[in-house]
Amino acid sequence: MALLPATNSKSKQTCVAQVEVPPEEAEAFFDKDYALTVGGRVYEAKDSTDFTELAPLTVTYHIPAADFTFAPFEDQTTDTQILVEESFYYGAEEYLGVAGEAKQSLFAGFETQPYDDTASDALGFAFELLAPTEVFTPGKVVYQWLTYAKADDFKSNPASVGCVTKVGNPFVAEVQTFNGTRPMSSEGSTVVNRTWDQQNVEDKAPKKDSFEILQDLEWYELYKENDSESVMPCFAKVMYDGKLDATNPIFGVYNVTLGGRVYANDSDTSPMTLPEQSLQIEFTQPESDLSNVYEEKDVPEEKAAEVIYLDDKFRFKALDVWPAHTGDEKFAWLRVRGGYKLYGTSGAEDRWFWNFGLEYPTALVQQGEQLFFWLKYADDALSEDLTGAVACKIETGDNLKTAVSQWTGDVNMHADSADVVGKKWYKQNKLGKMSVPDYYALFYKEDIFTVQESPRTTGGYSVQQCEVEIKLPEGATPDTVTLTMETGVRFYASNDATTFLTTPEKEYDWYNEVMEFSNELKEVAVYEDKQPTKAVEEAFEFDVTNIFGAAIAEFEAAQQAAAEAAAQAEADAQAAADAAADSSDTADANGNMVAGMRSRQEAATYSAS
Amino acid sequence: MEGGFATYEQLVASDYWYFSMSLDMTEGLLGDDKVLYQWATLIDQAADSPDAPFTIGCKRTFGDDGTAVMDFFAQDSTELEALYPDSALVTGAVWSAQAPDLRYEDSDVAWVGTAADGTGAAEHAPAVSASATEGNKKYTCSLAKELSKIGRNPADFEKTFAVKMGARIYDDDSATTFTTIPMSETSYFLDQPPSYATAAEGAYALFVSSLAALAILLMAF
Repeated sequence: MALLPATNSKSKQTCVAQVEVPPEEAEAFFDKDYALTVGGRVYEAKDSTDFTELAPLTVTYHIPAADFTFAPFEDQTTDTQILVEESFYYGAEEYLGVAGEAKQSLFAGFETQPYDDTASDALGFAFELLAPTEVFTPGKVVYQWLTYAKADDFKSNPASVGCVTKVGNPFVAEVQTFNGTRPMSSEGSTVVNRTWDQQNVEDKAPKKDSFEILQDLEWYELYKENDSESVMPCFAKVMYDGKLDATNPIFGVYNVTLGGRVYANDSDTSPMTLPEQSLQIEFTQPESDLSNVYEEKDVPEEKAAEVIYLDDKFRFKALDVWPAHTGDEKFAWLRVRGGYKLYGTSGAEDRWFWNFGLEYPTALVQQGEQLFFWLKYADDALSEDLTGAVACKIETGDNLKTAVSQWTGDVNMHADSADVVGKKWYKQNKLGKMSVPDYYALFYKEDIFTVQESPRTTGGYSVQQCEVEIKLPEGATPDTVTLTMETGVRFYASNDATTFLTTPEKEYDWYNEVMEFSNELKEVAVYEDKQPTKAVEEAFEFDVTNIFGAAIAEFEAAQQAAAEAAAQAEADAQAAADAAADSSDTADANGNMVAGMRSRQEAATYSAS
Repeated sequence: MEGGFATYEQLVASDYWYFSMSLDMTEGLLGDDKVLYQWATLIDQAADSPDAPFTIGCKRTFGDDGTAVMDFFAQDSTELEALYPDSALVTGAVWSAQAPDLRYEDSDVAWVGTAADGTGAAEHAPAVSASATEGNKKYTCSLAKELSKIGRNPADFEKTFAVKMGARIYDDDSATTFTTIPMSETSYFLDQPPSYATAAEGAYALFVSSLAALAILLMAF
């Protein structure tokens, strides 16, 4: 920003402004002609209002198209089965030069899709470095690595994986794979005094055998753990050719060395180094029946209860969402049900689930469409634990393409949010998005995740559901809490779509009391011995003569005719009786007849209320 | 009009908010096949974020005391008069086609009528008292709203509703004209449903009152 020398003994002042263009937004900026007008003013002093106007200059230029293409989005749902989860703690001052604590964690496991024979299994390593936020200044390179060798195999070379992330730029994350005996240690002869991308190049594995990065940026982006600490994650994955059967040599016990380095920048050759750690990992065959992973299969039926706790259904006009709809079905319904899965045996973990349902005209069901159900929850104070959002995405017609996303904090999920408009469903709302959501989907349950015919008797309707659940740690939520909820569904034509349709978005309350299993929940409801409590009883009188005038006339005529007929019948009977009996009884019979007539007339006063 | 709660002991047995509308009039004045359609529009009076107004309708025939067909209409503040007798959504329509775009299907609401087999509102609403007018009969139609104990939100109660109610009489199910019973207006305070008083609680109350009586006796001596 200082004055620079120029020709003819002059000086020049430069000023540079730059803006980051994320790759997914490149299309909006690149391959376009721009007209740029540059002007300037030179002020007499910092606070002066006097200035000299420089002559503006307009130039035109063309920004060429981006020279990259996106890989197809992998939307096949996979199940991550963690086999090891280890964390190591350090003093950050000693190893990273900043006061505080540091922690390096390693998660290892398989990703599998047991319900699709064509889907290959994958092995993944997830690294996390937690440290004081000051450690992670923009431009620093965090290099996390591990070396693994089968404990009983003394012939094969060990393999190493380096996972590289640059603070402030998740797009340049990189995963390196090495096969060889050269150590990854900071003191290693092919590591020391080298930049991160030059280390161990001698053992670098060919690309086809290499671990790769994921498409989810969350895995390569620094996030805040709390007010003073941040976490830099990194994920390395290698796909196998098909499914891993029990005889695959990958299974077995491995000796693993874990380490990490933080480079000041790409040219740094003397990084700060975390101490190396040794551990053992046993790789076992992935579970192919996911119900064994996600469901409490050992709990007897009488000790398990599924309780619907919240059930809200919102109706909206189909034409408000699908203006071209021409069917007879006028409406569609968005339903949100929340509830507990409670268990009465020790060791079984209770769950909470959200079931999202969309009931809409069958004519509007489009195979391959991406339905993005979302729900936001927040307490009045927007507290960290009770404010967030969860989304369940499903591809219509393919329950194996279900995805769960979760956010922490006050995230704007509305369709008109700047972090939603113009973005693909999986690119929206980067801020606060968890790399591994706590919620998960039991997508293998076809009765929930596949399109079902609606039992509604009017019109032709179908129901698409998407359901997520979470294990409830004991005491995770206060005993009672009232949260404000927002819900909606967006419809994307494909995974590449950046435009969408949306249902109306609804707001409602969720009042929650923590529940535990009790035998009461297994009872069958019996509606006997009710206790009624009358709150209101009111009567409003009105004049019926104008309202029922004709009916009253008819009624009276009919009553009169009936009375006369009855009287005549009685008189005839009496006459017949008189002919055969003593004439002294006649006076009493006439008295009864008259009394009968009077009673009917009294009834015809026609009050009403 | 009568309203209140029917509560049940079990946790898994829902309580009910019942709402009975009766036309107390001369018995036999109108034919058994004529249709009596009674309705009430309830408008939440809360100043902040009131619930959307709604109308519950109840259809029966004069000759059938056992069946009540429930209608539920969801409205907004511009549609408060949708079910009034002079509403364009009501006039010229058979009773079952009133305000069709506001009407919800039974499976979409927690309100129930009474089915021909007697299940539904008749199970929960207490029988209304007989007419106090000799020769009259109360033509009652009861509705009930299910209130699950599990997940019940206290904020859904302690609400005051302005209630507009009225009735229409149709010659039969296909009639599009009707005789109007004048509208009435009142208010309804929807309180928190009471807890079910168990036998144990009753025995405890008796024990306490016995103790109190004993104490008074002792004090007297």
